[in-house]
Amino acid sequence: MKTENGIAAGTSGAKGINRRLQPIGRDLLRNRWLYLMMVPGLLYYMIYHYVPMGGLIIAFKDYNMGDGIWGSRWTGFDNFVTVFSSPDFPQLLRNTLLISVYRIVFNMVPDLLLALMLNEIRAQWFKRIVQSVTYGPYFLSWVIVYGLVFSFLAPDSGLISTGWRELTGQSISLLTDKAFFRPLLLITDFWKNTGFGAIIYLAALSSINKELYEAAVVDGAGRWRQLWNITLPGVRDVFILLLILRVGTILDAGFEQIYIFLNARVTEVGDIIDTWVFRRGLEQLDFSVATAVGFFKSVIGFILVLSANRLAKKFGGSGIW
Amino acid sequence: MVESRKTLSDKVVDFFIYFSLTLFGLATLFPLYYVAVMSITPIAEVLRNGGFVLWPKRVTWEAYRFIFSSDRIPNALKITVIVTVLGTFCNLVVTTMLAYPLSKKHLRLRNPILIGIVFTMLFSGGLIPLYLVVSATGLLNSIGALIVPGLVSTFNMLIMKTYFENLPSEVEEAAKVDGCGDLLTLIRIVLPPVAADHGNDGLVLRRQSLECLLCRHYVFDGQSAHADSGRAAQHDRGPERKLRAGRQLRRNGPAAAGVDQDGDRGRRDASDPDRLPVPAKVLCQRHAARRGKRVDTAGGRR
Repeated sequence: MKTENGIAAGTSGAKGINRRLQPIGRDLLRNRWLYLMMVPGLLYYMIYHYVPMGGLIIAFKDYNMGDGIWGSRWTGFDNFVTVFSSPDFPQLLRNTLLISVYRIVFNMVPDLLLALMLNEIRAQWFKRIVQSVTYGPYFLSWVIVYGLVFSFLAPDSGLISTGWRELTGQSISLLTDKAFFRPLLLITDFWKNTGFGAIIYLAALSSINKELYEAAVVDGAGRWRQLWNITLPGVRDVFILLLILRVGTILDAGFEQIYIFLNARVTEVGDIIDTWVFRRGLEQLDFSVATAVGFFKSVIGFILVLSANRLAKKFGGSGIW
Repeated sequence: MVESRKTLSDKVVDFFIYFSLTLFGLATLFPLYYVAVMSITPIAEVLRNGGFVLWPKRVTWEAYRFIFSSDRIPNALKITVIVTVLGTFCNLVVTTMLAYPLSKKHLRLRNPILIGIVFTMLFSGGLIPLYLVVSATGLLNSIGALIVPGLVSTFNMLIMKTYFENLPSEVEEAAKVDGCGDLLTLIRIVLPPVAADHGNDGLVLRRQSLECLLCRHYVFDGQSAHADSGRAAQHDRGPERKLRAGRQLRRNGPAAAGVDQDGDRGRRDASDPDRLPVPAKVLCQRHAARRGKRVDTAGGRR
């Protein structure tokens, strides 16, 4: 009873610490099964997320495999200097940023549009068919998608190339066309991911209270009014959440897709930071320089997410946290 | 949206929506259809029609016979299936075991753990350190390299956690009063309706493992059908040759012995989740036999 009162009042500092520590021990004991359940997952995060973060120190070293991480020589910021003074770097950064921004504009908005359109459909069977069909390609890997692209655009046998040749008599090679490379990335991304991207918005849309619409109809709100005042506010938070996450990964630009689509002719417009890191790090085994770039990317991404979240909150949204 | 009387403009909008969705659906299907048709059309017919064949006049299975004549593709296919099935299973088990406790707000360490996990979404060590960790845990050149590094998708875990949080807590409490432990509650009470409602989530996780599969191939030098078909398609960039050279170097390096021991430990950790549910299941069946009726009515609440 006495201690109970002490806890409730939270009197002195020593007791305060005690009060905080003791329940954690008791909490661990009482919920030991819940905590034990988490062990595999937490181990995964420790080993494959936090240990690599520690591995970032090789960005400040001249890493070689013989000496290992600890034995390698410290070089300070030399690796960063190497990266930033490399002639490739400005171009890499520009490609990465451009492709990322294009993706945000041309792939996030269609996701939302598709969801809004599906939401307007009354006929359930039609909705279900369209949804299943459009999110199918999401389950294909980029290699398969490239196979499809190749069968359409291959210079001598592709459907579009041969069609163009029949029509105009000129040959066309879109796969190696600098001007077409970025649109190609966006179009295939659109084809592959739009149906799936819409699902998240549909989930948000289905959680909107139906009574709101009924009330709106009673108040004489038409379709557009309902869209503007009920539907869009209903998906706003999800949109902002995804946008913040997208902004945070703005230096990613989609390694997998670009690595597969890239060829020597279009390197100038398509080479992004990640593909460069991959070549430099794993193909040329220059681990330290590649890690330095990775480190730079992570820091920028981190700062961007924090600021995007800040901004979102400032303008009245809820942000991520 | 609530049905009100349709005006002309409503009908126009409706028509536009149905039309564009149909168009989008067909545009999505067409490439897949085209490739499927091309794969069974004799090459002569393709050439005669300038590559454009909507419906083959003659069907040939030559291409498929060719693919399956060597065991390269079947083998790659086998690995893909193994990785996908095993990967999905591990993925679901570990993600659920993480998401369920984290949905319990009364846990003292919930918030610190959540922050720690969300932080990994915002900041990462990047490609190379991850590669080094994967190689240090002995996963290079094993199926594990395709599964373990992508074991939990933070985003899916968070979605699942939110879902658990929104479940009505009464049934769980009732189970607890009946003496059901946490693990039992999760398996007998919480999961069955979730599994019924949300087979889709499993689908999402499954494809996640499909996706990481390809990426890991290039990064970690594993083997998969996707990568094989990609290579067969036309390009050989030769990263693998170089990776192999690197691997040689690592094998012969003085640190090799120590690394291998570490690797074994890592592998054992990773396979833990597979073993965990088995005794739990047995326990559960026994428990259900004793209290079968009650648990079942609770489970069938949906």
